[in-house]
Amino acid sequence: MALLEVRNLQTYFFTYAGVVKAVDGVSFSVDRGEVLGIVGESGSGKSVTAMSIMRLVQQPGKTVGGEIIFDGINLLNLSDREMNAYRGKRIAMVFQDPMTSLNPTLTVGYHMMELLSRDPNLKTKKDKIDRAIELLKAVGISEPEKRLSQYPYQFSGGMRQRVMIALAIALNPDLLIMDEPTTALDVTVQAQIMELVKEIQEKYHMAVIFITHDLGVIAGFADRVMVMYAGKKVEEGDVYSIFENPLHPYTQALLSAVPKLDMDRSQRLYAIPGSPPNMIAPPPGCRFHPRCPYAMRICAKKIPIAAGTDNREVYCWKVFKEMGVVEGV
Amino acid sequence: MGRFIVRRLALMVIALWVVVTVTFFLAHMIPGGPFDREKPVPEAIKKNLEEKYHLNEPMWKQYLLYLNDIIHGDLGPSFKYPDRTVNDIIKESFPVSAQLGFWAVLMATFVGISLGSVSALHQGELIDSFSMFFAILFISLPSFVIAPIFQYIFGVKLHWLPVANWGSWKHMILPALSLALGPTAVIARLTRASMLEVLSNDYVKAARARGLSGLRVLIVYALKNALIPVVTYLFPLIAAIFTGSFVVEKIFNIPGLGRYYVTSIYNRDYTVILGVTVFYAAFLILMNLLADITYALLDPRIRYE
Repeated sequence: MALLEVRNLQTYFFTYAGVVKAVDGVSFSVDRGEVLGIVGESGSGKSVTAMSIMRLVQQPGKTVGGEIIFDGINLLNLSDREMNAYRGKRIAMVFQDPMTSLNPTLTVGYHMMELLSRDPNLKTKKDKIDRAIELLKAVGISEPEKRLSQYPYQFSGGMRQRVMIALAIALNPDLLIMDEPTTALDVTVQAQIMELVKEIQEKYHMAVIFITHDLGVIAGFADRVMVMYAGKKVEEGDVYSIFENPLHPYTQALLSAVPKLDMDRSQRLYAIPGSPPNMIAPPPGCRFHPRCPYAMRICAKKIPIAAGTDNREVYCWKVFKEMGVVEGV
Repeated sequence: MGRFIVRRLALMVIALWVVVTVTFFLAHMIPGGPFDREKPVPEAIKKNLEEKYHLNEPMWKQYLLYLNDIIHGDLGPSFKYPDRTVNDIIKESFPVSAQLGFWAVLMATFVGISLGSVSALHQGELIDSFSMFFAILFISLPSFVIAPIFQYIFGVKLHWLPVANWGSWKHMILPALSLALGPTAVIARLTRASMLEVLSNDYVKAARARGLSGLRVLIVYALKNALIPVVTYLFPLIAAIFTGSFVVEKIFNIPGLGRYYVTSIYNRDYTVILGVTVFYAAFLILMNLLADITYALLDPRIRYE
């Protein structure tokens, strides 16, 4: 059985202007030790999916339907207190902006000790300090003894993200959710952090959900990739098939938008025509159809059903016509 | 930090000198003098009195004499109450005002911060609307309206508490409440606004994602960081409330320092005017210094070099 199984997740935001269906019936699963990449443009529902799993969606948002089965237990049925025991300990999360993710008025050591006090194996204060130092070393922070007593503002962005990762892995979680952990960092630091994330994932054999809008970041890391558009899953498959043979027109468009090193510099970067849909009144049928070069009449009328093969799932009428329905989805 | 405090204390001396100088000349510019009565004092007596208090000397000489006194810690004699010096007056009445002020500030701080936090956590819910309604009410109602209402309800009608005067702890409740309600409301609103801002921060979200308990996130992550605007308001408030309120002390007939601010001016009691003004100024400057030190304790990024 999969470690995490999300079924038909629906998280809506009840705003004054209307209901925003930020995540609208998304299903996926993550096995132990597996890395799932979730990609999509801003507003596609990636982060809301992550926050829904953590059950930290803020007002006016609410998870109104679906199931989040983690290790056999539906997280949506837990009390707040029970859910709190999962957070940090079994499911950990790293956020996008390391500059604001640490409390500026507390030392890095305080952040770590506070969390490590939940580890029953660490009895004395010295145990905890030793473990904190070990963790900082593990994420590549030099002079960890000295760093513990420093405040977040004395750390650079990349170093802060390393601290966030140290905090995330401190209690050996089974699942690590990373919500665009490298987006706020500059490119060289991005590469270093990705190296670290890969190293840690392999070492601890954690399941990882890695959210990004940057396909380049995910290519060398994820086992499987799920592409989201306007609150819905449009395509899912293993990382090679997604990159070698993207089937959904949106995935194809996303891949064409990735800049390449061997590109002619006079050439303009490809951009997907049109703009992201209005989420209060999304287009009927396939939500991508107004921007899709292959749109057919049915696309504007009916929501696509899953098409593809066993390890491939595509929600597109064109693909459906070419490949037929997937068994069992 | 040490050097910062020393420098600030040195600046305080200069600030106090400016306060003394400006107040001195302003007070002497008021028409009339301390010994002008409806029934004029005989010329000879007035002359003797003025000689005794050096009021016959040229202004610059009086100023220098006063400066000399105040440097030696002597705020001079009162013209209106000849048996008491200004030091006596402050010594007698400040403890009364400070005691009253202490309870008022304590209540304003605790109730204000609690109400503000609860409102922020339940933004838009009934309890939020309820407490913010009362906050607006008590910000708008001045103490000279609240105090008589309290006297009428709790003193005259219900006989629960004494209407006025000073003595047991029972005498303190109504004036302390009248003093505290306005500041309580301001602190509640400040806390709420600042808390809402802090709660929307990523580090609060991240702390919750680490599974920290709601109470812990509230106190260690949200409240501590939300308190800076409250501190900015609170410390000058302490100075203002501890040194006594003219209105509340007058209404409840409390022998505090507050009434001297106003009575000394219409008595042309120059030394009392100067004495209480300098005392309040010194207190206020000290409180501002304390506020600055508290900032540094609340937020390590604030450093004074």
